[in-house]
This record gives sequence, C-alpha cells and structure tokens, in this order.
Amino acid sequence: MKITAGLGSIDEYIRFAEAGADEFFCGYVPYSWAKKYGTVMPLNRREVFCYNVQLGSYSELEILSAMIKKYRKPVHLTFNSLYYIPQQYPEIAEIIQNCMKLGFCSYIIADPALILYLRNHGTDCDIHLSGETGEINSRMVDVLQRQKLKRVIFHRKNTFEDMQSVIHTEQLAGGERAQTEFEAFILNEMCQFSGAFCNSLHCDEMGYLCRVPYHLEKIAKKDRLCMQVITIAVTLIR
Amino acid sequence: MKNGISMIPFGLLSGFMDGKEIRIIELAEEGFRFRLSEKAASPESFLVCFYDMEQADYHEIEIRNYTIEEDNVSSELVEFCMEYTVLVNSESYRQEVRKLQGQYSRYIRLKLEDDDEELARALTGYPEKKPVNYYSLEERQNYSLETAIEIDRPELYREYLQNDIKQLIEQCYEWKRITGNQLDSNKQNDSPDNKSNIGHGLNLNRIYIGNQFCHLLFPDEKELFMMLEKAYKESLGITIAFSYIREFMLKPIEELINRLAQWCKEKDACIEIVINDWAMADIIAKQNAELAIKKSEAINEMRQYLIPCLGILLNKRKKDPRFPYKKGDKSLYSQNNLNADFYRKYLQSEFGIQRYEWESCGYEQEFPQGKNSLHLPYYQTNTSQYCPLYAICTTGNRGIQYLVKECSHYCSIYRLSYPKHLNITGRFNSLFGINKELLNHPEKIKAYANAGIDRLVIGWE
Repeated sequence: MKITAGLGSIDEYIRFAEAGADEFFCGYVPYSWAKKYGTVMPLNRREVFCYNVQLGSYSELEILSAMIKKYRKPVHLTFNSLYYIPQQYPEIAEIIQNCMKLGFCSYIIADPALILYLRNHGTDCDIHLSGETGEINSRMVDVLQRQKLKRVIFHRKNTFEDMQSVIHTEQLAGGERAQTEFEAFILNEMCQFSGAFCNSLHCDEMGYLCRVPYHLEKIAKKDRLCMQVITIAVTLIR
Repeated sequence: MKNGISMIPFGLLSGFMDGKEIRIIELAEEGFRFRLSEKAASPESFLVCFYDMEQADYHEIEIRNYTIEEDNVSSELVEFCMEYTVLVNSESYRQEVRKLQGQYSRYIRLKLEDDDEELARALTGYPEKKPVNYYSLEERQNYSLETAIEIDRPELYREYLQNDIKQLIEQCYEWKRITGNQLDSNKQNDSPDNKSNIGHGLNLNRIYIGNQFCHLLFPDEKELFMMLEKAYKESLGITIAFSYIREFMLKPIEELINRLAQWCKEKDACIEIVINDWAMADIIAKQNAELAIKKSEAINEMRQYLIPCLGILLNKRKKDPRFPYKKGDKSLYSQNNLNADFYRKYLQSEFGIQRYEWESCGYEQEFPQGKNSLHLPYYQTNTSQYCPLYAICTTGNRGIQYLVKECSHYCSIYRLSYPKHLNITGRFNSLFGINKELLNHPEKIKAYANAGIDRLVIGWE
C-alpha cells in the first residue's frame, strides 16, 4: 500500500518524500486561468486564492519535474472540479498537454465531460477517477472504464465492503482492468457532506455553508400531513 | 528583503519574466525575489500581477527598469533551482505592494479570529440585502408548461395512495403559491386527457415519485407499484426518481428496473427514470437495448418504455444562497457542462438521455437544447450518503455518521433550521436553499419558459 500526500508547495516535496510519502497530488492553476475565471470557475476543488494550496507558475512545475526525476515519487495533478463550462474544455486540454511535456502524466478528474473530451481529442494521459465524480460502485466504474481509467479513488463514504466489491469486480473484468489501481482517503476535510454532492461555495470571502450554525427543530405538526396518525395506524397494523 | 513577505499564494501574486510564468517567493516595496529551474538570461521585462481582493481582479505592473542579481539558495532546493532578487524603483509598484500586503494581512487576521460571519461581513457586506439578478420578464401570453408534483418521502406516498391527487395538492403550500390554486372543476372535463386543470395556465400533467437525494426515502416496491397503478388510472405522466446507488443496491435495483419495464410493457405505457448514478444510466440503457434486440428494432427507432432523465446529483452546478455576495464574474455560473454539445451528444448516444433536471437556484441559468425540467422552489446544496440528520438525532453530533441500514425516518419529524436570512433548510440527508423569489412572484415563471424550460416540478418542504 502506498501513501499519497497532498502538496501545497514544491517546498514540501523533499521533506514529505523523505518522511515516507510514495506519491503526491497537487493543483496547478496558471495565471491565465485565474485572471479569466477567478475563483468563480476554479480549475480544481481548492477554490481559493488566499492559501498556498496550488503550485502556481509553470516554472514551479519545471523545478518539481527535476525533483521527481531524482526522488522518483510521482505527482498527480488535480483537475477535479465537478464540472466546467464549454469554453474551458479546450483550455484545460492545452494546460494538460503543456504539463505532459514536463513529464506529468497522471491527472485526477471528476467531470465525466472532461474525461470524454480528453479521450476524444487523443490525450493519452493516465486518468485517476476522483471520488468527487459521484457514488462509486462497480457498475459506475464499468461505465467510466470505457474511457480507460488508471485509478479509481473511493470517496470518504465508501465502506470497506463497497471497496472490496468494486476491486473484486475490476479484477474479474481481466485484461488491463485487472491492473486498475485504487485509492482511498484517510485525510479528513472535516466536511460532513459528500464532496461529489456538495455544490456550495468554498471561497476565500465566506465560510463553508455546512458550517453555518443551525439547530435541530421539530417540524410543526400542521406541516406533517397527518403523519402522526398514519404512523400510529401503521404501528398498530404491524 | 526589508519587511518582505514570503510565499504569498500564487493566486494573489503572480509573475512573468518575458512571458514565462514565475513564482515570486518574497515581496517587498523595494522589489521581489523569484526562483527558476534554470539560469535567468537577461530578461527584458517583468510583469507582476497583484490580485485586488476588493475588485476581484488583477492589476498588472510591467517593470522594465530594475536590477537583478542571483541569490544563494539556502533551502534544500539548492540543486534544483536558482533564486534571484529584483530591485524595483517604481511608485506604482510600491503602491500595489502596499495594497496587497494590507489586504493579505487583513485576511489572515480575519481568518485567525475564526469567525466566518465576521469574515464574510468584512469582505462582502453579507448578510445585508443584495439585489438578485433575474431574468427580464418578457410578455409572453401563450406559454405552455407541463407541470408536475413531486412526492419524495413516505408520508407523501401514503397520502397519495389514500387520497385523490387534487386533495393531495390542496395540501401543498408550494403548489398553491406557484399555480394560484384555482381548481376549476368546470374545465376538468374539457381536457382531452382528463388532467387536472389548475389556474395560471398550469395543468398538473405528471407526478414524480421518489427521492433524488436519499436512497432510504424511496418507496418500497409494493407501495411503488400501487402508486404507478393510481397515477396510470389518473392519466398522469409518471417519473420515478432514484438517488445514488450504493454497491449493495446494484442487483436489487436492476431487478426492480426489469419489473418496471415489464409493467410498462403490459400497460403499453412509458415512464421516465431520473438518474443520479452512472450505474443507473447503464442499467436503463442496457434494458432498452435488450428490448430493441427482442423486437428486432433499431434502438433509436424503438419506443422506449423507460426514458432516462439526468438528475440533480449528476447535473452539477454551483448553488449557494449567499451567491449574490460572491466576488467575481458571476455570469460564468449561468452555464455548466450540459451546455457543451459534445457532452449532450454523448449522453444521448450512450444512455438515451435527452431530458435534464434543473433547479431554480437564485440566478439566471442558460438551459441547453433538449428537454429541461425545473424543480422549484427548493434547490439542493449539499448531500451526504451517511445521513447527517440521523447522526444528530441519534448521537447529538452531525459529524458522527455511518451508513444507515434501517432508517427511523427522523426526517419526518425533525429538520435542521438555519438563520432566516439564508433561506436554507436541512431536510433528510441534505441541505436545500429555498427560492423565495418564485414563491412570492410566481409570474416570473414565464421567464423560465422563455429560457427553455418545458416542465415545472413543484416540491414540498
């Protein structure tokens, strides 16, 4: 089993590699994207500017590429926003092709449309299916494997039984699919909802919606559509 | 450097050296430092891009007048890069540095105080009322919208089975607000399909059965088929909404789909299936393909009994009641990946999907070609497969979650309540925003018809 660590800056690469990380994932957002789309349409799920969570700058990727050659711990780049808009797909394809020139071959992707676009345009990179795509089950993996995936990343709410079943199904599929890699999260985002189904804002200027204070309240009886009567009736019948 | 700040995030401070993107590793009023993988060869100019947090845009300063010298790299990166110091003598540069340093310091201070509300107030003015952009209303007299009611939980299923459809919708506050609740019994028999004729030109044509967000709120099979029979007799169009499919549900769901297909065949009727899982998309596609083979017909010519529709969990877009406060070009939110022609073609050719389920979520949306249903007035913002409401009801802590196998349906008794100005509510395993604009001004629905919506789906709280 390998350890995959998140990278917020290339300065962390060596010390994490020496600490035992086998692989890394990180975001790269070129200035051209940030200028055009800001944090309104982010390139990945780190939808902020004010934190060092993206590598930023092509020159950093060049330095990182040299470090990877020495330490041999690969880095996967994340393009895992849940969706993009039509004009962005060719732009992302170009960014990925530029990154591939430096030796970055693997990409974590959540939007099925992006996976489709890359394959339709002959971009033969390794694709790691993000847990942000949706519910991960063996049939869903079967569908998306038509686009040739290298790895499937389970989301944080997959049980061990789920994972075992999906992995077993892939092995039974045989051929290249039997070589599919699998990844699971231990890193906890403290998020009580599922990333794939979280559509709220995660921006610099406001806190997370799920952390807004709330309280538990009873639904008013008049709003319950005589539920109490029905519940009693059902209980009596049982 | 004097009073230099190291490692300002690239999103806030970007740099170019003769068009090459560089990482500025320290910023000060007298200049900046950057690093490269190779030697810098006498650059002609630098471009330093400062993000203005108030305007949500960049100010770019070109620097042609500077001195540059190579530094000693003190960190462990010494064998991988070179570092340089650039000294700049420019008042406009210094002004931008001071502004960025001030804004960044203020941001850090606000974050360290760990008060999200104060942060939002300081940076956006939230929650002071902001105008909401909306479709401009065109006068369109003869718009025709199919209208559906959505029943998505056990108490509604039971209510529907026990009562006439008209009695059911009489109890729906949202239905009454949006349609005007003008039941005109004189006009009922005029409708050739014997559908309920409601006011405002909106007829009840269809019923949605099932919950798109929680797999535990789907009706049991006996109840489901009883509802299908009832809806069929009432001449209502039928849409069955499924949620995500957990691994253990795959086989039972596939068997249910087979039985649904059989029911449709016996009735010679078709039903729609709302898909919120790629597995379901495949199950329906295979079911339709097998039927085509049996009938020796081309699949695109064959009448499909099960018609797939892309559900909310797979039709992703940003949804947040605080949207008016978001900085930046919000017009970008109007589209999502369904506006990409290649993606819609793929969904149609691979799965037969031509209808898409949307929600009215508080801003203008650009609906693509095809069939578009609009769910209102509630829109989902967050969902968890491990029910947070169940967690808080059983443990007192919303974060202590696990997969619920036997659900007590606490959601029929409890919900999560939020500050009123947010217009959100926690129902079942999800958070929902409420589009009060449409509840208060249902005449604005006309604008959705102009924008490409051909069906309204009205939900309950």
